[in-house]
Amino acid sequence: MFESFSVAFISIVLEAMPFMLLGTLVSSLIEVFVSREWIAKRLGDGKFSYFFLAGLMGIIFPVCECAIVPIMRRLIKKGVPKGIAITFMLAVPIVNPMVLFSTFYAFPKQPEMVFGRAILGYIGAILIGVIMDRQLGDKHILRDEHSAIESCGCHHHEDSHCECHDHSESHSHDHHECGAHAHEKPSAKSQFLHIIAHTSGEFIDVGRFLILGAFIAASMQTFVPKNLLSAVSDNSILSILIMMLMAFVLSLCSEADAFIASTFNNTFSSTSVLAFLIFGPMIDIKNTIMLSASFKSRFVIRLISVIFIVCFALTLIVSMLL
Amino acid sequence: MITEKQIRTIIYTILSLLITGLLVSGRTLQYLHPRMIKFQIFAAIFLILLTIYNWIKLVRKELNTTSSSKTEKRLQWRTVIPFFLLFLIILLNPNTLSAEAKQNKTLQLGEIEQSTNMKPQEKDLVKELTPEEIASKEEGNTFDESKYDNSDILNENNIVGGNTNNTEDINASLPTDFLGIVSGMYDTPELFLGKTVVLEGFVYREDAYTDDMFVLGRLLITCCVADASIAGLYIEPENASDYATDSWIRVEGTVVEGEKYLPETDSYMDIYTLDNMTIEKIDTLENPYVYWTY
Repeated sequence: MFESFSVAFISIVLEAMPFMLLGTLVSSLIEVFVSREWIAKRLGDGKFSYFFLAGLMGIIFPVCECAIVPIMRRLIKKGVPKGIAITFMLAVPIVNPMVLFSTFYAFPKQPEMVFGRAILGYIGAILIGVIMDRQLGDKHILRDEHSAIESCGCHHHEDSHCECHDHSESHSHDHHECGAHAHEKPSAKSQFLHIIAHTSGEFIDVGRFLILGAFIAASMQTFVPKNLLSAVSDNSILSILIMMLMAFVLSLCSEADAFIASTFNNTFSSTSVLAFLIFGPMIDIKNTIMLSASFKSRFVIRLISVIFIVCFALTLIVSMLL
Repeated sequence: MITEKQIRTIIYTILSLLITGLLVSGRTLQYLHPRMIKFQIFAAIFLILLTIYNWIKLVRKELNTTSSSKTEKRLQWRTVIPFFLLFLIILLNPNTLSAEAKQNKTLQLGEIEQSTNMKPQEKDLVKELTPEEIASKEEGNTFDESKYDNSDILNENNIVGGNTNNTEDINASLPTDFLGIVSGMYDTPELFLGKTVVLEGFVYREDAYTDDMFVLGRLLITCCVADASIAGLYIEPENASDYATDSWIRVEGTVVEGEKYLPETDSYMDIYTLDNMTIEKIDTLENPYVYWTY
């Protein structure tokens, strides 16, 4: 049995790794070339239509959920309305070409999974953003102005020091090696090194979650009897809840989670797999930890509750319609 | 003290060596569908680049005597342990799924619904291959095309593929592989009924099965082994109990239609199976998997 577990474990990791590498590379490119100010300018107005725009930002800003919390925090600090920033945070890791590309590869015979993920993720992110916007009003949700979690501090400073960054837990960075920030236009070489440095750090950060996720998924496949899972999967509500719980616990990168979701496709219903695919990128253990470091606990609990209710309701409606 | 930077360099070095080694040795195919190989090549190249980058950074750092070790981040075990667990398991070189693990896979008998969806793409690819090429690619799938009536194939393609203008290509789309034959029995039974086929696979049993039956199966991979399901068909050879579960056999038999009680569904269903069978025990095939090609 251990050998069977090992085969499944390795195959999941190997399958997802290239997509995770590609995702971290794209994320690093954006980190270097796209400024938060640019996004803040386009989302800062607060008009209702901006929710729809925020939900589509992942198309030009394809970042996985591993890197999105610090960006969302920065957007709020830049003055983007909270609801729109939340929609942005929830939609970007789903409605983005990298994630949909990997989903397409993971479900080659089920294009409906790609469309379902994109559409439900988009609708869900907007709904959650609007609900949270109404609930939060003018409440302050940030812990303080100098919270621990930050994205790369050098980001878009138009500086040239960043090749020396170290990435560590939760995408916080050490700037100890950087020395003074030289606010000059960076050279192509320094930009290239910055991209490589970001990718190098980020891949290790998120890769361990992939490995842990693959470990749990392979364990379930190997050691949990099919009959037991089948009994759960026969109940549509229970199977959706189980898959949402699994997405939360596994904490997979959205660029690789489709491959793990596809391993449950033969056991669980498509809608419950869809629940896994939209709930996981919106909230999981690692994002909860990152959110808790930057935002007030009451806000985090409320956000998780709304995400849970909306994702559950959407997938349940889809399962009833199908 | 080992720093995070050093351990990161070690992780990238081992990871790039392992991924490259798996690719070069062909072991990647023990775990993944062949269509995923291009992504593995990308990963190997990118990991080598990251390895070189980290080594250069590390060497520069070591040479720079002015930097203080106090500013170095300490090794974080929660980062190290998952990666070294992965390395250890890869180095153990696991390559087969046990019979117990196969029990946890979904069983697809005949109604391998993907075959309907995949048909156009599958045929497009098959058109480019000669039967010999297909046979050499799918080791052990020794379907004898001379036993088929080509006019049936033409009719089949006219109906299913709707391609009536390209008869030469249609001739080449004769199914010669395990998956093509097993799904073809259900998709286009008129082509197969009464014909003799040769199939190689493993013996698969579930608890509910009676002693006189088993499934002749192969693991069907969509992306990776983790998502594999068992594709196959029921057979009832005379001395079924002589063949151990998970052992590999070559079965030659005539395709017949019948009604059978299926323990999985607790109902009688029309199935296609083999009759007048000759069974031979064989070694496990070098590549035990079957794939849809697209």
